Amino acid sequence: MEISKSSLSGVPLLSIAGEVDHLTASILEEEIQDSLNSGSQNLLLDMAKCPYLDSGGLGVILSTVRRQRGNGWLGVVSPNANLVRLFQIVGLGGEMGFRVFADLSEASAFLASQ
Amino acid sequence: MSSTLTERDHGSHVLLDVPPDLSNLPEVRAWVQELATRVPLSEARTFDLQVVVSEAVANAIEHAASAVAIAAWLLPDRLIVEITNDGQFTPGLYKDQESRRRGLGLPLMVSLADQVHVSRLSDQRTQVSLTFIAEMQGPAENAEQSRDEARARLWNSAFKWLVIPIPLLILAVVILEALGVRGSRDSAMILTVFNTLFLTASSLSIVFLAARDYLARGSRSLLYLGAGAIIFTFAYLLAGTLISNPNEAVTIHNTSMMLAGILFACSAVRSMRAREWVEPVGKPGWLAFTLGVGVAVTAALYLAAHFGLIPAFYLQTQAWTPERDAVLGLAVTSFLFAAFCYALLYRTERIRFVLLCSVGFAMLAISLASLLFTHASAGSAVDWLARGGQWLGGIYLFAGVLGATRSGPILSVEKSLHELEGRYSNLVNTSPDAIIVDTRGQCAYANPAAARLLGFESPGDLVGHQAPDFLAPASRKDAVERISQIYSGGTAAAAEERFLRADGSELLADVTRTRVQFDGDLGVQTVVRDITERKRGEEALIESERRYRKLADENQRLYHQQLNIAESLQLALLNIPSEIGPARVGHLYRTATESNQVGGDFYDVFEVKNGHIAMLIGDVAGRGIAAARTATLVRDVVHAFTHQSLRTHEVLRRTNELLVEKELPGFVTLFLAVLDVETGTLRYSSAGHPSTLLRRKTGEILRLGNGSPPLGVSENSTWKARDVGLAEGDLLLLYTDGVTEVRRNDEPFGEERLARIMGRKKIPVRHLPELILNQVLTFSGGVLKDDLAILALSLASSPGEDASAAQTRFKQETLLG
Repeated sequence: MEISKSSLSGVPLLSIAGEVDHLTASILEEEIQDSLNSGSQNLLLDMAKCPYLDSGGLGVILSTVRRQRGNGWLGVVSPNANLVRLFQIVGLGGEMGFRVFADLSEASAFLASQ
Repeated sequence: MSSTLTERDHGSHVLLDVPPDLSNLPEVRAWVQELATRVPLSEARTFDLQVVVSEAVANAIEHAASAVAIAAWLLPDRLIVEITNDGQFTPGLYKDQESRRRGLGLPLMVSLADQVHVSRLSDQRTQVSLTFIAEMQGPAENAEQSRDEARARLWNSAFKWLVIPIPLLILAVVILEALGVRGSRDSAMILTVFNTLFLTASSLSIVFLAARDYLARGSRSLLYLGAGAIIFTFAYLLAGTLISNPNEAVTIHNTSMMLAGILFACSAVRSMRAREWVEPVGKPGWLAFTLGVGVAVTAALYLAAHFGLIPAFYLQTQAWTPERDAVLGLAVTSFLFAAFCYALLYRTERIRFVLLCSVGFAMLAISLASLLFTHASAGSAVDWLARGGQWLGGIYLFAGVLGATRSGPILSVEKSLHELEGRYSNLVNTSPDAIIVDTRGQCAYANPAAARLLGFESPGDLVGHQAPDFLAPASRKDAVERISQIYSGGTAAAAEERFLRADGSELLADVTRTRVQFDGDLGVQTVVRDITERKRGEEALIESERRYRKLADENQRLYHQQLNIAESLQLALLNIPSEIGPARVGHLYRTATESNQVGGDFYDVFEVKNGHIAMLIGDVAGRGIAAARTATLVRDVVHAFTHQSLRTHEVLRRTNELLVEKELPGFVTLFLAVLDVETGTLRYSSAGHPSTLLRRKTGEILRLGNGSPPLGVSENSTWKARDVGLAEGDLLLLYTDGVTEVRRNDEPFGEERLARIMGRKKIPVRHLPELILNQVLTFSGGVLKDDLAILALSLASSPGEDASAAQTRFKQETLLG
């Protein structure tokens, strides 16, 4: 799995290419930490190229969302239908600080409206 | 990626060894993906399977750091994957902040797999067993829906084949008429050849398909059909072309037809007796009626002919005998009988359905044609009609066979089924789970594990016993019901049942039942897994988890959002005062021990204008966040409406209106009562909620509210309000069905037990709910399958007599509150 960094309207954007499982979750966790430490309260994950994610990755996302609760949000861009199902199962769907965007343009539109 | 893991084939199952390194996970998932194509599973289910297996393997590697063995059984209807490792499997338990996220593994596995079992093997190893059902494409309703759709498609395609021949036949008759092919039976060679070729070809195709059906499924019923078809062909070949003497021809023709008809009827009856249909025949009474009419009409025709009331059923040009008449009569009767049986046999298996239906239609057409034939002079209109009927029959047979052959890769399906069967019997013999097959209510087969489990010396000792012989009395009734459900084509969920060993001792087991073909008969296969040990293990797991949770701090504890909601709901409930006016209140809410999802129970007690006290209790169908949200909504809405109107039925009507309008899924049961403190009148309405119990000071028990529709179902539902007078010392008990539906074995806790507890006087109302909960838990052995809520309310001072004092105190409290 590889993560490339960029930003969208000032919000850090991590693009994940590959599978996030128990082995690779720690890489994602570090990258997320880095991005949040750099000062931003919000974060975008582009998951268009992430076909697989299990409790390793879900745990990272969930704990990030919980930690940011009230301060900022974490947005997931272009996740596939299977991933969206998993987000629902672990209860991410009901989290205030968690957003799902169908694609990058939807994410930019949201950022523009903020 | 170079492949380092290799699958080994063990005959009954395949095995994959995984070294203890997380970097093997992608390869495990790739293997799982390939495995899923063999079942096959849909894309989404394949993903689920990947997640679940990956979770289990990762857990084993992370916690036990040991090599992992994955075994997979590919069965006709399901895929079972067992992940075994040395050491402890610790699903859902987390020891420190960092690995807290690992705790998501088990909820994911439970949510995604159809069945998850964790068992501790005797040699300190742990095994996680995961089952994926092939047909299940998600929730049960979806599966049902897709079955309905498949059935609809089946009808369409089958009937297309059955209807097409009719215009073709008319066209053929017109062409022959135009060609001037008519005249006497003897000279109409072209017609005879046409008849013979047509019916012979279709009969032989039926023989072929019947034989394949026997080879693929072991169904003997269709062999009768095949034998009938052979004789049917014989009738045409011999009587139609080879025999020159018309008298002999007719005799041979009729006798063969009779034999074929009887064989067809046998095949149909056997199919029905062996219950070889997937859907039960809708109305057995109607079936019997139709058959009766068919037989009676034929018999009546023959009797009438015999006594000369109508022209006889014989070829006019031939001499006739009563014997031949009887033979032809029997032939037609058995054909009719078989035709109706087949037409009514409803199969969801496409090939067989098309085949049987077309045979049924064909026989109907041929039988009717035969009746006409006997009364026809060559070349007459009746003769043409009769020939048309026979062709129609032939075309039905032919089209049916063609449709069945074209409706999919029958051969490859059969081959794989056959292969699987071989694998399957191997699996059954070596399976560690006890497997028993019943046919016609008797044990026809048991594997060695079954004999061991039930304490018999050899598997043969079980054969011949009836299914209930192995069941403890407590489970007998339900088990028999489940078995008959499976016989009649339904499915039964896996259940826990108590079994009786040969020595009279009992054991608790997980039971899965499926329909199987056994020696040509329909049978029910029961897989029994002893869970006495596992149950203990699970309890220990739950206990340690519970203990751990107490120790962990609040942040760690609020793990699921589900639990967050459960707790905030409970917090809201804690705000209920223990005294309102003259009323003393006790209440309790407890979540289910068997589920980590929130239920939808709710209740409330609050004061309303002019010295009224409102109380309500309700239950939202379903579990989870949606149910909890609906519960909060209904509670708040009823609260608000009650402040506007004290007419309880009106409050229910308006709440219902709102629920229907919001199109919330499911329904809500609710009991709402408003007590007028001054007069002591309690006005109440119930919407499908279990009766509220009222215990008079005298000890008399009344049941308030029942037999009404729940909220949220129909906008046209209406409710009634009733009044009952309360006096000092009276006690009201409101509860949800989580209390009365708690079960020990299969016996529910029930309203009677509740009433008995209430009957004991001098229990302070504040402690009554706690006391009831204790009784419930003692009854169920500590297990709560559903959430439960209890609200108890008693009148400390008698309303009316002491109204002013009560009013004063009530107002004070309102001010204080």
